[in-house]
Amino acid sequence: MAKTSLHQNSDVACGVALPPLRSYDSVMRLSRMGAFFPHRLSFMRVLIRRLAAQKSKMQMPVCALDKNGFGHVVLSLALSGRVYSLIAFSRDIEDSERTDRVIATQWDASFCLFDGVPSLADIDQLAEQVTRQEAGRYDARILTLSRANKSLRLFRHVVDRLAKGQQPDTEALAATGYLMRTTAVYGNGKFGIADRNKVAGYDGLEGAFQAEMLTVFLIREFTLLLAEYCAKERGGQKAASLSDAHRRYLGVGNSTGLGMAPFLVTHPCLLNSWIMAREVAFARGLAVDAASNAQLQRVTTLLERARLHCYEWEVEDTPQMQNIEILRAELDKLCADISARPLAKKAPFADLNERAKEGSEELQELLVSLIIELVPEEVDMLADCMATDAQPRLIPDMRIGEVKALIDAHYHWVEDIDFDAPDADAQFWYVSAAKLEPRLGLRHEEPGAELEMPFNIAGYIRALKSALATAEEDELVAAFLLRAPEFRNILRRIQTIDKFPYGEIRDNLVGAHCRPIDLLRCKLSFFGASKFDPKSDKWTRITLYQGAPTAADLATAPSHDLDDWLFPLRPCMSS
Amino acid sequence: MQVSANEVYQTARKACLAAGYLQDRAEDIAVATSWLQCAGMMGCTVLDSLLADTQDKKDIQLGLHLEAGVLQISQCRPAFEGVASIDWLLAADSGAQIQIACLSHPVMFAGLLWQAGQAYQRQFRLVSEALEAPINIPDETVDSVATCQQISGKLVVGISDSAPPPSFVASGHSVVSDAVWARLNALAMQTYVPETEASRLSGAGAGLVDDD
Repeated sequence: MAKTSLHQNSDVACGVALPPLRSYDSVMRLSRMGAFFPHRLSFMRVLIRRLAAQKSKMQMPVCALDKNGFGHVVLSLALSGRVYSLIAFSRDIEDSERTDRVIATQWDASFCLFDGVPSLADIDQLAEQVTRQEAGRYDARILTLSRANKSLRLFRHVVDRLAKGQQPDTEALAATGYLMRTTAVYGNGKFGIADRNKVAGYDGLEGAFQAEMLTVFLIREFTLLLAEYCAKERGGQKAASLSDAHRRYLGVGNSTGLGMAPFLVTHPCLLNSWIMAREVAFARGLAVDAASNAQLQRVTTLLERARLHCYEWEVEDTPQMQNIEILRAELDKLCADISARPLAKKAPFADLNERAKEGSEELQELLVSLIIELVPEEVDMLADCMATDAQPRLIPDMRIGEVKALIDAHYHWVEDIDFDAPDADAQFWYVSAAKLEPRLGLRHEEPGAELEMPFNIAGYIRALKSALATAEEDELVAAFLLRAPEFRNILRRIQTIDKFPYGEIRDNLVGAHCRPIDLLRCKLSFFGASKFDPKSDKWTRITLYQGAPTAADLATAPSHDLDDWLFPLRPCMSS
Repeated sequence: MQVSANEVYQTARKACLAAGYLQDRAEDIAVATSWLQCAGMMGCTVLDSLLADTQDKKDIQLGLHLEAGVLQISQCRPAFEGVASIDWLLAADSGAQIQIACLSHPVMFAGLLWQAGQAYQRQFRLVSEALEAPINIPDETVDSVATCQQISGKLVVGISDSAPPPSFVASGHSVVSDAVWARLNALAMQTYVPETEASRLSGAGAGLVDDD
């Protein structure tokens, strides 16, 4: 469970006074959320730090693969005194069955994270279930469930090269960045697996999405192992293993769609914890009065790495590529500027931030990640505050006058919406009967709007304001609800947002111009994803753990050497 | 079958929405259902019975009125008058009362009281001629909730300022009958939009060759 909850009505964060933070009105806009980068409070970074500190050793108690790499493997890893095992099933599927869609029913590989080390009987029983994913049935020993497809082109290339005793071509590696791409990682009780409450009770997994991040880390190990295994089967004695640099560069791909987005709307307290931790971390970086030489050198190193990283970041999506090109130019200019005019001696990181103030949101948010990176001692403990048990709660004894003030404080952006325009509610969020895939429909063209998810926050605020116009200022909320019970949900949300203000996205989520991809990028940046590669405004591909230490690194390298993988670079450039 | 607490919550929430409950009501009833289920009081069966009763009673207009500072309820439906009266009690001073002439599904109502008591750190006191002694909710054990099954006729619910004793926190897997689970799932399914070709093409991963 979270050690401390971060919220607006607190003047401390993890025991330290809260610095002035950026306004939630500015931070919680879709365009800015859609420009977030991973940072050192991202959940993957948190997990790797913990694994590295404990020098966790991965073992492979079971490897039952045939000569083509089909079969199963168990990878076990200890964390805080408990052993977790990834059970990976590798299957031969037709090319036509390989799809990134949630509605797929066949995968190259399917996985579960098992609580402990499975017996052979467990593996036999789970093989029937895990390979069917959502169609299977599980128990509380299973902590997560996932599946992945090969990036055939790169997988074949890597196996071919290794079988010949050669390393893969760096350009080919950089073009894809991963050997397999996951399409879902399920947790929290789905299909009978363990509830979040159980997982949160395990030391080391209490933070947000730590079991899921551990799963993906082990999936990455499995993909590396599988490629090397297949190469060895083909090349025999002359087969090579991947170099350390290549292994670190290869991450795990992921295709992420609308399923990610509703979570941010339905978990305002948790979203507030994430965003606020990041904002507190950023503010602590800005507040540094004087930097050491090492910190100043690190600014130069990270800026140059970020610049190169952006030059390696190529996508087909025109809007995103335009943003990247602008960002590249801005970073070129910023690097040159700092070279010509060193940062101020007083408050140097605030000076760095000031120089990007007129830049794009991508540049500003990249600098948030970079500045957080400069002050690890000031920010790493905030990771403990990024999970919360808090839930939206009605305050029934609040006066209507206070509610009106809260609406003015947190929902003034609603006034900018022209509710008479068809654009105002052009879209609706819903769950499709096809494998329960969340989707976004066009209200005036598609059926199903009567079953929409309750995301028309702006519309609900407008209706409530109208209803409150005739209410007495000193009437209690509970009394108002006796005659207008339909407003209880939005009243509860408003009252919750006052305490958790970074929990509300201050944009019209059903408007014609809402781009779900912005929500996805925000959430994925907290996971630690990089190389956002939008395929439409509704889904994106990303890379997870690119540049991260591997399991072999964890066991051997000093832990402080394993926490420097922001803005990863392809092997030839980083060396 | 064995189900997780979150499966119960999500299925219950959707089933309530399909039955016509508003979002907040659906969530509150789902939390109570999951808690009752984990606490060994067959929450899913209680909900199944509740929804069978209320499917044609989606009218949100509340049947209650204030009389001399006491909230009078002729027919208390847990998700409607029940939720509203609990909010009213929480906002009222210690000593406030609600008087219920007829309470349907008392165990679900007790589940709602338990959740509210835990969340707001208050304790409710239930008095009924059908009970041998007043019941406090939340209490040290969940027996008080099970006892509510006996409630019939007039019920008076009060609230105290004192915090409830540390009590049972429900979590974990539980067993639910296949028939009940199937009925709740069938209801939950009604919240999903049938697929069309247009919606299929707008989903994540659509229109792409993935053999890359």
